[in-house]
Amino acid sequence: MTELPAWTFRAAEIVTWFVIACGLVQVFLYVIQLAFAAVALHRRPAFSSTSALWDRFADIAPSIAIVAPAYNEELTIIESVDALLALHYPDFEVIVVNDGSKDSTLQVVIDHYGMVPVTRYHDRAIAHQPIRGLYAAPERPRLFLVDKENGGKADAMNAGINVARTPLVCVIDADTLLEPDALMRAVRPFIDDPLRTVAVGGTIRIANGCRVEGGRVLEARLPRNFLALVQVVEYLRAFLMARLGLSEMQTLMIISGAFGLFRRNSVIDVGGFSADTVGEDMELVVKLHRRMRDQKRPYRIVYVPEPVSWTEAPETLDILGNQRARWQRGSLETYRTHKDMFLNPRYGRIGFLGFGQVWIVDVIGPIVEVAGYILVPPLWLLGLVSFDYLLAFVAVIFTFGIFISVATLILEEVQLRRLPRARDLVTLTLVAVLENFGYRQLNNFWRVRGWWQFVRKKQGWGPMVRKGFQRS
Amino acid sequence: MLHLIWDVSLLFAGTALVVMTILVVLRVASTWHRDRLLAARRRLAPLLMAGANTPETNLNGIPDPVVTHLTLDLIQLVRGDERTRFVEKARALGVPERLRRQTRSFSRRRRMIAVQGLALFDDAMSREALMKALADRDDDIRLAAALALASGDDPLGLDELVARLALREGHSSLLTISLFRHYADHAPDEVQALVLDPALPLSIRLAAIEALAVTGDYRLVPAIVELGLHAPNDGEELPRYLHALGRIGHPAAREAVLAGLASSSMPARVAAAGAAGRIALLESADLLADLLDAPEWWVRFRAAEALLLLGEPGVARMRKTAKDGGEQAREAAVTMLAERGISL
Repeated sequence: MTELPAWTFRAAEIVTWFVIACGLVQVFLYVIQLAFAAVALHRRPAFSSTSALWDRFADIAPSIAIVAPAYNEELTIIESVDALLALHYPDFEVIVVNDGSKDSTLQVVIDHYGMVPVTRYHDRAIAHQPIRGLYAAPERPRLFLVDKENGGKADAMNAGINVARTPLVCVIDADTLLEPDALMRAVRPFIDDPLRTVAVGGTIRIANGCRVEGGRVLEARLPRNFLALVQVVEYLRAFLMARLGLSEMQTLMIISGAFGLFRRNSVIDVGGFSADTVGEDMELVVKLHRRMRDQKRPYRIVYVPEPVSWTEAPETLDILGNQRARWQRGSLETYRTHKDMFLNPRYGRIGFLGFGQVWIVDVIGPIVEVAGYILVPPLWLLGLVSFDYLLAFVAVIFTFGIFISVATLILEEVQLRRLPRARDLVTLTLVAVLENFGYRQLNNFWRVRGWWQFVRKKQGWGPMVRKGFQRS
Repeated sequence: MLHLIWDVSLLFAGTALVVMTILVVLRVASTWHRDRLLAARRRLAPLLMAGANTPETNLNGIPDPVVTHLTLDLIQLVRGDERTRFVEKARALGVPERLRRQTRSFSRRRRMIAVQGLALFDDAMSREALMKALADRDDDIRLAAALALASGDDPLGLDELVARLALREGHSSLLTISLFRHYADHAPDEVQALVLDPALPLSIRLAAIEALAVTGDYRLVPAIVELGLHAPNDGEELPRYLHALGRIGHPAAREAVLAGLASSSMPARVAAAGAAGRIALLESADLLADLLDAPEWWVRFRAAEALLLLGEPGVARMRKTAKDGGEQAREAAVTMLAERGISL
């Protein structure tokens, strides 16, 4: 075999070092987030029972409008609305937005609650598809129905926010199941710091495998499907480590559209949810940061770990892959729209830490990691880099990966203890190890696909077929 | 360097797995312990609910924390005589003593439960423990202790409470307003003294104003009017003064409300419109009708609401606007009239 020129060895080393360095920076960011999350969990307000919270907050809790967009939900809409109406909170209204459903969602709601057409003077500050009618139920004064032309989830949420007359709006997905006291817990930052708090995000957990009845999770159980199990670990990591850590650093960049509480005026100020992106939830939070920083106003965007909502996770590779590609596209679209904030001193820690994190983890992260899989092992096989390089690459990708996931589980167990059984802990620890071998690589390929779709300016959501909660 | 990366990653991952294994073992042990406590709780609940005079001997073998937590839960579930009987029963079972000890716990959660629990026992020793909790290192627990003390029969003087809590500028928690509300009902003079004390941070004085406004105490109106007339247009305090004047609903607020309606600040105009409606300030009708054409929806909405509260003179202006107003004002007037079922 002919000897390769010296520059090829040097080039291979540079490429490998770049991949390893990017991985190390990511690991470093995660460790910082873990540390901040641990501090935040330790300092969080002492847990109070729902009745104690009610005693303290009932007189002062600000009113909330829950905006629930619905598209072709005729089979589950009544159960969802009943569960929302049964939430424990002193002053709230539920605004169901029928986003031009093609099935009989509208009629089902009208008939079930005996709703009648009404006139309601409402804001038009945020643009959305035309409203066809407004309905109220004489027997259910908390319930309001908006019927509008189809425009997508962001558009429906904007319509609901326009119609709301409360200082706070809570946005949820139609299939989100809220814990009965979730609003009471989520509102706390608005009570503790009413002038500065503009948005609050809560924890989302995976309901696959749980026993669900009447729109409530009666018994929390782990899913049996491996893909759903991996997502349990992913969600724990995303919420308990990343969002809590970033919130503690005051650089939270996303509040999930599945459950978030916002100051209505602030959302209106920034023009509501953007309808031209699949990452409208992240984009809204970034817009709020930008507006507050531009106006030099003190503000807080907070994640609180206690308020829990439940959602259904995809259980097949196709649907999960589509979802992850879409999330990647959403991040990239937000980054492109607001790239002038990146490393811009005008935006302080958002520009440096928040956007820095987005750049490392979301923008270049998947590409560099996939490049590492494609390049480093062959470079070693060709003898262009030494075994030590390969070991370092493996350490960064696999071993640190195990550490980050297991450390998040440790945080959960020490501070929150929401997993009901010891064997759940064992199962999730095993999954936290196994996910690094196969699933992590697959996820990165999906994210690269999201990159490709972004470059090709692909629009739309792709199919999101739901299996449905396991009802008792 | 490459070796270091490998060694450190192995060390981290290995340590995490070892810690997790220990936590799993601890979880098994604590689950066993929790099951015992739950069984004890299930045994205790019917005994306590059967009658508040259950002999203490029946409770032998039931761990103290179970007795404490269950009695507290039961007290919070009931009202009236039944609640009094449960409180007496809890006293007989030594719950207040245990809670007092718990206020010195290292765990913040346990201290919070203790402070909230002690609020149910209005005796000298519990009050003393709550007074000590006012110096707790945790803001939230200090405030909980203050709320507990404020709801007792013999509350601490408000000025002393404020001094002990060290409420500072920017401490704008709604819970502070809630605390002041306890005092506003039976000691309005003390709250009024806070409002008029220039040495106190503005946010504390605003909280005191809002607490007093809920009681509808007219005596404070001239002072708030004066503060409102001299407040900066773009500050957060002007809307809060106007909002308080609206809550009190006294016509003496006239001057400040009319000035507020002409303010350049949107939140101030919203609050002034609300106040004008609540006070039924007839002379504000023309200004309110003008505000139906304001660029901000909240101003238009509150102005329309206020006009409707003014009665016939307000409705007449709404009808006129519905006929002759600009596009935005017309929409506001027509829709609000329709919403309230009033003919055009």
